[in-house]
Amino acid sequence: MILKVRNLEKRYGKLQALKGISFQVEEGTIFSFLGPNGAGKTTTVEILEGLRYKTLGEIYYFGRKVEKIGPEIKERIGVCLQKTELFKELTVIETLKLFRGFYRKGLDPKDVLEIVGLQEKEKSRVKNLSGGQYQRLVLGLSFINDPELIFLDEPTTGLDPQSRRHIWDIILTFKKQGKTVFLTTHYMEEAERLADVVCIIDNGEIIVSGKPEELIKQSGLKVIVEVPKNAKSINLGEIVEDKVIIETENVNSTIQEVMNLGIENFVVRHPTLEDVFLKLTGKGLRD
Amino acid sequence: MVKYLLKLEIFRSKESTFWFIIFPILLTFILSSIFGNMEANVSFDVGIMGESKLFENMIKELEKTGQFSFFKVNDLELLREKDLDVVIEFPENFDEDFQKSLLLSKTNLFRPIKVRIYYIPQRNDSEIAKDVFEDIFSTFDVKFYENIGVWKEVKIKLFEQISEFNYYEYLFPAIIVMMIMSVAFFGYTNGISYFKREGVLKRLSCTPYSLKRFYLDYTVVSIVQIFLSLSIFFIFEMLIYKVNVFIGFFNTIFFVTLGMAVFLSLGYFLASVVKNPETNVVLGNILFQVFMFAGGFYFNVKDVKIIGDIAKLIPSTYIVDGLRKSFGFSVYENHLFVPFVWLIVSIFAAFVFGSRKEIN
Repeated sequence: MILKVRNLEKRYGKLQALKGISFQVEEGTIFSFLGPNGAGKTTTVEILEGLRYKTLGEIYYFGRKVEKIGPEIKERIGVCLQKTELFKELTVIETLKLFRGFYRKGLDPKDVLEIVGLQEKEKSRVKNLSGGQYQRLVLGLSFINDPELIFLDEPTTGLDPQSRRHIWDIILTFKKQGKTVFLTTHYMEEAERLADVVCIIDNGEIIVSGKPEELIKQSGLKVIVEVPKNAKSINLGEIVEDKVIIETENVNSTIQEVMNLGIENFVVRHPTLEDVFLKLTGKGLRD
Repeated sequence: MVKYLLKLEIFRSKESTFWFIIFPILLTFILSSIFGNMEANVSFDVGIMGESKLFENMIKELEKTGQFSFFKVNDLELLREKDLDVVIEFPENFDEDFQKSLLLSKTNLFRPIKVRIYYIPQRNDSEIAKDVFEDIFSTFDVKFYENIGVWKEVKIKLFEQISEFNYYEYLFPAIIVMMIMSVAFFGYTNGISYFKREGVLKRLSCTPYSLKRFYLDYTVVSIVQIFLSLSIFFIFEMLIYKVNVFIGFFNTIFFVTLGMAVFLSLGYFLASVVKNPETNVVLGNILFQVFMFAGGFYFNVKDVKIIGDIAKLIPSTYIVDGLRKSFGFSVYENHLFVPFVWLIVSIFAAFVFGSRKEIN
């Protein structure tokens, strides 16, 4: 077991951001924290990265209990923050070399450049990179030390679909190399596609955790009919953003009911982790 | 890290080139133009040190022209403060010695008598006044010849003394301290709070490279920056304003080092407790202006009410004054106590308020 957390609590004055969460991350897996903004995902990873102090709880890294995330732990972990800022006037290769210099061991910056597909941008200033290129550089920095465990805090937020897929490919490469990834996201699709284990968190508490397909199966959800939110559909199911989500076991009768109301554009689909979250919390991941 | 920070702060920052190299030179030029070279006056204020009945008549005659005003003075302070254009010093027992010189002029026992004229070469009015009195004394010499017929032997040795006051030299320490404060309050403090707010320090904190090490490296870079800009400034002062920057060189090095320690510590304290770079710009500016003007950078404020009292409490006063010791312009004593108090309080406060803070 590469990481184990027990009864982790974090308070900011009267606000309790984490209410005693416990989980463990197995070696060589992609472990995902899925939850809406403000659920406590970033607070958790920032405590584990040594950026914040825990209020209570125990953390075990690489089989050893640690009180402080010191340099010896930081040598073995990689970090991609939710919002990473770098020295904008340095070039891409200079940035990689700078960060490589912080660790005793690691990869050749040129190899990292190749993995993240930024060879052509080697001598470009960081300030001149596009959003996707910048995020790939940030991702490159997270494994420059060839870490055993990589924390990726919402690595694809704000990226276009193409850049997002590029990042996903890199994350899957990590897994193939036997590395462990701790991924936080509020994108259901991302968690479903990448994660071996998903931990759904809301309001500082872990609601449920397990393999994505098992979580869906355990939820008992059958089929989902999704209709646009309007005066006719508003009472049919749970409202999520501009849609009404109807969970049903009898698809035909639900479709008939929807059509009887004069609603013609609807989607019938299998349940997802988002539907699981909705069922468990009564709200959407992006609420 | 130092290598990359040097690249960022010196070679890739256009602002630093202006603030740390061009601005001090520009400021020297502007201030020297304002205070260093006044327009020539049509009348001269002349200070007289010592007594001479023999020259009293000459003084009365000159006063009648309306172009000369004479004042009894005891030192050169009024000349330094530009209230006087020139000071003439008659040595003690001048008249008696002068008479003896006349009598002994044909013998081996003859000793010339020195009349000193103090003036300020960089001030046109002072330079002109000196020339005028040089001519006057020569004429006076000739009159003796006419009266007693011994002028070839009787000599009043005209002794020109290079002025003790040179405004470029007075300004030189002020610009040095101003440069240190610029780097400390605008470069160093703002740099740290900017990197902190932008999240660069947060990213660095995720690596084994500690923030303490970053602050140390950034301090080293700031010190390099100070020495680099000082070197350029020293060369400029030597070549353009002919300031002998090597006078009291070890004294200069000591007070430059003390200044760096005090102002960088203060800058570090500000960066530790104030998150927002904009707030730091405001605070840095306030400190900079107060330290500069109340510190007597451009003129002596020791005897000015309120400002003079403030001056006694701030470190810049003693650091500038300490540097001025090299040029003989020092007016304060005990140059170390106040700067050391600021240094220790800054470090202590930074430690107390800045430690165990989470990086956001």
